[in-house]
Amino acid sequence: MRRPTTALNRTAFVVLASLAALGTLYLGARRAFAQNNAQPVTLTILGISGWTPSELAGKMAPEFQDYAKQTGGLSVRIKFEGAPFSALEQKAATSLAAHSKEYDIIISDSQWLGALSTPGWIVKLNDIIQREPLLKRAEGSFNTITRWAYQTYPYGSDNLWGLPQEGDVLALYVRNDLARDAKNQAAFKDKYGWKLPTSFEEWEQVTWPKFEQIMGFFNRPDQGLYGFAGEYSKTYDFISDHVMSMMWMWGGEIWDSNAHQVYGILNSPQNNAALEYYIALLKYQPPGANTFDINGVIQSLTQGKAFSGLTWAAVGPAILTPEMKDKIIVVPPPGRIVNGKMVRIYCVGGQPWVVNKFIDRQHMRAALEFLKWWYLPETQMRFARLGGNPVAQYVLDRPGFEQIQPWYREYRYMLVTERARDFWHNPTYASLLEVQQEAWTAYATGVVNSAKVANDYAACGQQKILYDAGFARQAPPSSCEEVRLR
Amino acid sequence: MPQPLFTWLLIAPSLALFAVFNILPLLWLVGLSFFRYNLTFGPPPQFAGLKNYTDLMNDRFLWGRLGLTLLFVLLAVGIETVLGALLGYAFWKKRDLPGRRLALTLLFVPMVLAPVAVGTFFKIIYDPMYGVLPYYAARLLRIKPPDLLGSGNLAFPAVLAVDVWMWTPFLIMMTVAALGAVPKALLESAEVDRLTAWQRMRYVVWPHAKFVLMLGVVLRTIDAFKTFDLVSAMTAGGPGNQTQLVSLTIFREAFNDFAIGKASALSLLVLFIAVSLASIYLFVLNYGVLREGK
Amino acid sequence: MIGRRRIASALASLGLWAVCAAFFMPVFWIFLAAFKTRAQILTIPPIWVFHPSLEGLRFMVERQAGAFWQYLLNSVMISALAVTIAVFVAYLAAFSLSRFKPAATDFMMFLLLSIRMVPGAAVVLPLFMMYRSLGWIGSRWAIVLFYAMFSLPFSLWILKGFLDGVSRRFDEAAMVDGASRFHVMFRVVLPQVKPGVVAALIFNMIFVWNEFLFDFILGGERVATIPVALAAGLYTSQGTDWQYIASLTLVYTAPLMVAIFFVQRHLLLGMTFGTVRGEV
Repeated sequence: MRRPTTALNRTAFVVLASLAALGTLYLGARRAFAQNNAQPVTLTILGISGWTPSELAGKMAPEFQDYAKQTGGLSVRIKFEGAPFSALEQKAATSLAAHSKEYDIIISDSQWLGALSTPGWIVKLNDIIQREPLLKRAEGSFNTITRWAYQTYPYGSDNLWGLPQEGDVLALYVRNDLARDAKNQAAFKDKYGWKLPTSFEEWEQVTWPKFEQIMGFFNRPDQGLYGFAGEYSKTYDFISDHVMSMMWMWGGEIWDSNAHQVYGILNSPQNNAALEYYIALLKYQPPGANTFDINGVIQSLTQGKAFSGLTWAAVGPAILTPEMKDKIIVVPPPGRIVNGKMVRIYCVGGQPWVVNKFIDRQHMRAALEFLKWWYLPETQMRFARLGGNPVAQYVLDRPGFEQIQPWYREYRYMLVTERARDFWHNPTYASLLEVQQEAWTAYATGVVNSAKVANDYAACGQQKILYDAGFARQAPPSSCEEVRLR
Repeated sequence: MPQPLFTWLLIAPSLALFAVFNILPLLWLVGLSFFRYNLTFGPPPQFAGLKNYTDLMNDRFLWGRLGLTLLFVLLAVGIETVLGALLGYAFWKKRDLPGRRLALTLLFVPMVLAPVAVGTFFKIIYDPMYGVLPYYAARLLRIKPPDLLGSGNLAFPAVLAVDVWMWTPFLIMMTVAALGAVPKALLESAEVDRLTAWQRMRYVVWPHAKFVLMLGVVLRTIDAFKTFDLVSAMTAGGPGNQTQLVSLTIFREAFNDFAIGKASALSLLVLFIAVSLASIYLFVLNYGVLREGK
Repeated sequence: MIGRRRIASALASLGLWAVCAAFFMPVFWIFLAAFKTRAQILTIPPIWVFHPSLEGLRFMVERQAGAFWQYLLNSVMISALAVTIAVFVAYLAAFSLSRFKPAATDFMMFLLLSIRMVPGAAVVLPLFMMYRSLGWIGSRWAIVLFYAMFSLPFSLWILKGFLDGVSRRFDEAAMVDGASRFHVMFRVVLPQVKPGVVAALIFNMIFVWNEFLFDFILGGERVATIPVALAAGLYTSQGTDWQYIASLTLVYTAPLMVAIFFVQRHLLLGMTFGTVRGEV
């Protein structure tokens, strides 16, 4: 047994020694490498993959490198990373929670401002905006809803945590080639006694009851054509954006943001009616519409299966394909007559930039330069030409702006304070959303048969979340014990 | 080098990997489960004793979700085992199947696909408008193309079916392997002794095959319990809560709500259930006795 | 009599082939989609015969300035290294557990198997915190070692089973001849458990190759593997990118298919956990 033992010792020694040598070499090489690379700053942006405006930012970012070199003498390298919508928050929050410097700027969803700012992960921008003339000019040009939606937490307060990257609103995409068809025009007039709308101005007058007639008119399953396509999917916030819009127009509210009270507000009779109405529209939609996500609406339109579709202005480029470009117009979604006045209130979409608080001064400086560059009129115009939705009013108000993209007239029309609204910039955003998505998709797919039960379930769940988190003063009532989905 | 040192030296790397990448995070998890801790709001972590656990016990939806998960595991593993055992037996019997190697290769492919890809692609395979499956189902049965993932009643079986499709091949493979473990001499002598088919199964095949087969079932049970990518890509737990497996709930608590304390407690509860299940299996399997008897 | 037997046998063959074809059908459908245009994928009635288009594969490769090759390289390197390390480390441990039977052997076997029971979502956050504080985020080695741990239990179970089946007389004979312990382990015993090694390699490869969550959270762009690329690329500005999903699935499933074809015998033998020698 002696020989093997010595052999082992020798082998072990050689192995250990070479490991140690390799380790030293590696550490040394890494240090040398790190020093060599110290000069240019790498600015890493985390955006949403598969989302046009985010990808455009990634595409345009290299142009910033030249700008930075010319104006500030900064040598910056831009790196763009993407994560899909549903996973971006995981990626961003796990990274920020560990006080990581890996992302300098993050494109977040507007509702996360509360969740990102409360633990102190992102930079409060008030002072910086005041200090930087270029940012101050941009800030001064944003309208109220833009500031509220993309910058503030608490919603509507003076605390600015983000800067708008992309503005977005819901838009109605309509097959105008079918609407303008003389036979359809005549038949529609015969049947309903009013003119089938074919222009932006005519659509401006359309209310939901009128729109229902149009949906019904074009709903021709035997021809493979359906009247409408909306979003009803459980993924992320897809069904919520649409249903909440309906509730606001039906005169309801989703919560009292001061008292953090949901119960009794979300499950109000108006809201039950609004939910019921939006789900009832499924009868004018293609099979499978009750799980449609954004892609479901895009596909219904591009494949010629739907006469109309309600989704974001941001996906205009996906819907207005070369084949569909001349057939589809983008118009304001239907409104509702309240006290003799047309009311339109829809969810805003879009995303702000937020800045990581844990990055060093060098990176912070580069990040600020980047944001300043973003709001230059040239940059905003270039973003517009590529298909993004800029927000600086000095660009939106330029003559000819509305002609740049087919949806810009609608976008400008809708992104105003009385027509656009955002929901819960609260740290519990994701939990609130989840229970609501669960409740409403359950109703959309027949798991529960009553809008009231679905809204009760959502209201009870949200009240509990807000109460447990210490935001709401009132616990959910004891009647909530009885509420369940199936 | 003394023997005990050598013995443990060989095991050490495994234990080191295990300790660093498993025990450490697990201890962290246990620790976190006693804290009231939300990443995105509220005060810094606060010791809360058993609060997270009592909250779990009082969560009236949790038991429904656990029940749904158990049902999923039971049905998936059950169907996969029965189908896998039957088909595996057939493939084992038919050793002279022409092109057996290619046939088995094709058969085994579903289990090597990425669940994310499968889950997403099945959305279009199941789609009532563009989907190949509802189209042929409608043609064959003369019905309207069914909306599988958009119906409260059909979504669960539809998701289950994909899991069965993906993982039955695994149990076929384990069965073929298990039956291969039965010594041929024994089978031949059983033939000579004119044992009935049942007796042959019970006294000759089962004692030798059970170890491998049961191990397959254990592994499958553990994995079925963790099913996540597939379902989250296909239905996101919907419609409503019809496919809301407990792994999706854990993920949601941890990465959407960032309720770290609560998510940790829930993870440990699920881990406890999984370990208990596995222990029961291994008890039935009686690993030690079988090995020593050999 | 013989005629009837032959017919029955042919029918059985046909039936089994039908089973295989049925299981393969959805995979085939996804593979077909890799050669279709976007419109063809969505066409109903389904198209089975068409002029194949390489558009999808080309888009896949060209997307993100050729990052595809980086993802593929990452996938190959990370999974190959991880399973190799796992099998090597597991072999050492299995040898020790099988030959020297230290105290608590059965307990250790169970303990290691329990690794697989931990829900991924549960440990990824503490792991992330740990990686962060050690500066391991985005490091190739750190992700490799994690996957090695991930592959350890199964390798250990397979290899121990095989080692238990190799008679100790070989070791003793070699030792008497004056061979070192390592010589016994790697030159005398290892060749006899080759099927177990191959099975452990392939089987763990399948799991690591498909793993998404840990690479997504613990890795960065630099270590992104194909499943991460897949999840990040599911959607494009044009909506869900069915072509991309199909092309990527085709490209990264094909190598595993080939591997399964060629090492099938070892794989099946390996799955017996060493309870049998020879053909299965």
